[in-house]
Amino acid sequence: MTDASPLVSVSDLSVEFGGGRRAFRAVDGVSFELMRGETLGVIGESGCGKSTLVRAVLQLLRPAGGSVLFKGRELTRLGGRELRRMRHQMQMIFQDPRSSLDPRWSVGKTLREPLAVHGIASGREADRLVDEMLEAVALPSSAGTRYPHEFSGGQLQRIAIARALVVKPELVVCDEPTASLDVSVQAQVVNLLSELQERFGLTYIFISHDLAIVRHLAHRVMIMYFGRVAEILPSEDIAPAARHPYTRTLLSAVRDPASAIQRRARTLDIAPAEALELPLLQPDGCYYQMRCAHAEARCRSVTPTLDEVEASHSVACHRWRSLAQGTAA
Amino acid sequence: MKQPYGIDRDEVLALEDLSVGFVHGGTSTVLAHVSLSIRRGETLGLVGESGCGKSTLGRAVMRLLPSNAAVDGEIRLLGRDVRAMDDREIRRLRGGSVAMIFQNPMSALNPVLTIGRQITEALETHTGLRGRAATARAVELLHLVGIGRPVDRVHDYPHQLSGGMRQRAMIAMAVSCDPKLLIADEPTTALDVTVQTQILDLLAALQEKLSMAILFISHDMAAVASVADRVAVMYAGRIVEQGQATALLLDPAHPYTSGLLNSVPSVDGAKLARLQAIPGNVSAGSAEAAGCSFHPRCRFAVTGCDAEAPPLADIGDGRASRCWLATEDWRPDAAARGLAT
Repeated sequence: MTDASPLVSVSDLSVEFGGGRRAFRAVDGVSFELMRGETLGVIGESGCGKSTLVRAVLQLLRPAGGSVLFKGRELTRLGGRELRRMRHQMQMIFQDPRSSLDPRWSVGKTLREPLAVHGIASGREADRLVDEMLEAVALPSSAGTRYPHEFSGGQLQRIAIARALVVKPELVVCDEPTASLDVSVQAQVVNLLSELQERFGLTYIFISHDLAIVRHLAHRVMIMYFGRVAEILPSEDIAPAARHPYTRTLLSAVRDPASAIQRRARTLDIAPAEALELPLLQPDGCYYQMRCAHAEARCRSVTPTLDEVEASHSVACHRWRSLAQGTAA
Repeated sequence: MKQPYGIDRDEVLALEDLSVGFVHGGTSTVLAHVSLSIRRGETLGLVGESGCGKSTLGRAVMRLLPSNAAVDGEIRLLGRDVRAMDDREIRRLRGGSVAMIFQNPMSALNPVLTIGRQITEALETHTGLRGRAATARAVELLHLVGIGRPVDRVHDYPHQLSGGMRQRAMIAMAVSCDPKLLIADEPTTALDVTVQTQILDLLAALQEKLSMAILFISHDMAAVASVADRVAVMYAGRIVEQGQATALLLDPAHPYTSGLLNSVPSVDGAKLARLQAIPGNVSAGSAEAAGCSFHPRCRFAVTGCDAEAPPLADIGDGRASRCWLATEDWRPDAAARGLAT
């Protein structure tokens, strides 16, 4: 019966930096649900608030408003001690394992620490769990006695994954875990993350700016623009189904070698840069209005709500009904 | 400039048998016997993963390698031997007829000088333009690279610009003295996808306008496909495949090139259960190891691949592949389909 209820349920979550009237809303009224065993991909350009959002979900940043239900408990009202007791159920993997692992700690010590901190295991039992975890991420158990500098970037990310999973979390937030890796190694880590999800029944929030990787790993994709959700839709047919002009722009910016070669046949013009930069001020209405080729009067005054296009596909655009599917922005 | 007889007048850069090692106790080989050339108006894409030596190659051309680098072979720039130049000549070259742009403009730009001042500084050094004339040229250059309101922007400091704008400013600086060769080392890696496309388009457009040669260094096959005329793929300090961009990227001949292309998922089409990863990592092979340096990761490796290193074999149409299996017709993608059935 618990399987039918979402593991995480976020509603109207907001994060502000700075106080008073000059406060900047980095995350502005974001809502979504995450089912057990699901992967939600979060995508957007740098500065769009995707990392801030997940930090607020995990209460690493305290939100200015809204609610985060984790297994039915309201995290925003929990105190520090109660939160710490729940931390092992929600873990995080970061972009750069070189900066998130302590260079002076052996891999074994790095993996045993969270077990001790959360009072899960010590001594032989801890060693057993560490070995089991190293095996799960396809590293030899001899890795335990070695230090971060002895490993390649891909191996270090495996260690960081092992550290996150050794405490048996249910929710794992991956913040661009493959962005700093080489292409050939990226695919290995992506495959490992899917294997581990199946093996341990994990629920992922996967942040990336790489739409192709997100589509591959995620069941649903949430596209963020300037702190707000622009669109959320199943990943399978994101390209044909996307409705929001911003999602279409992101899709058209994805280059694979074959399409890049085709595109070169075009005429070469130097386009002015201004239009595609993020706005510095938060305007009235839809934040995407300045970049949007379809903006009209109400887009400049009324904030669009997240409308349901069909089951598990919602879009925040006044014009989604009139914009034909597949229209490039 | 007087050209020695018999040398291609359109040749901008030629490397012949270039090897670079770093001495620290022992010597580690970073580049091994690399030969390539770039002609006027041409873009050569140099692809490879971190540690394969592609940036070292770019730096060797500019003579920017640290003092413990042991260089061997020939670097010919505009018909002249770079390694034989004295310090004054090489300084005149850098930022003049050869310019370089980097991955992270924030660390390449001076944070305490305005964008305009950084451009006029280059103009003063290399062209003799000064004062108002130099500033006017800086405004023109900012306009050329697509920065709006350039009259105001020349007074901006780097921190006042977004990442994409900074990269444009750095490109403006690089092309300010009309370079014959632009070395672009991962110029789009740190940028958002939508901005990446703009910068790639900008480079292609500038090249057409200024007819400069570009050495485009990147690990991103799609970025390379957007700008390169020819592509050289590097692995562990060696060129493993080279040829015309379209042919090489759409129909790779070396197992490593095919592996790189196949390990990236697509945004449309059917979703795969697993990505096709290349097993192992780059450190599994090195320039010094016996045999082919890619063989420990290669799904096609056969007996003999571990014993002797293959030569860069000509496979027709100006293409070459460093693989024992390479022939005019052998292609890893087709061979893999054969293995699967």
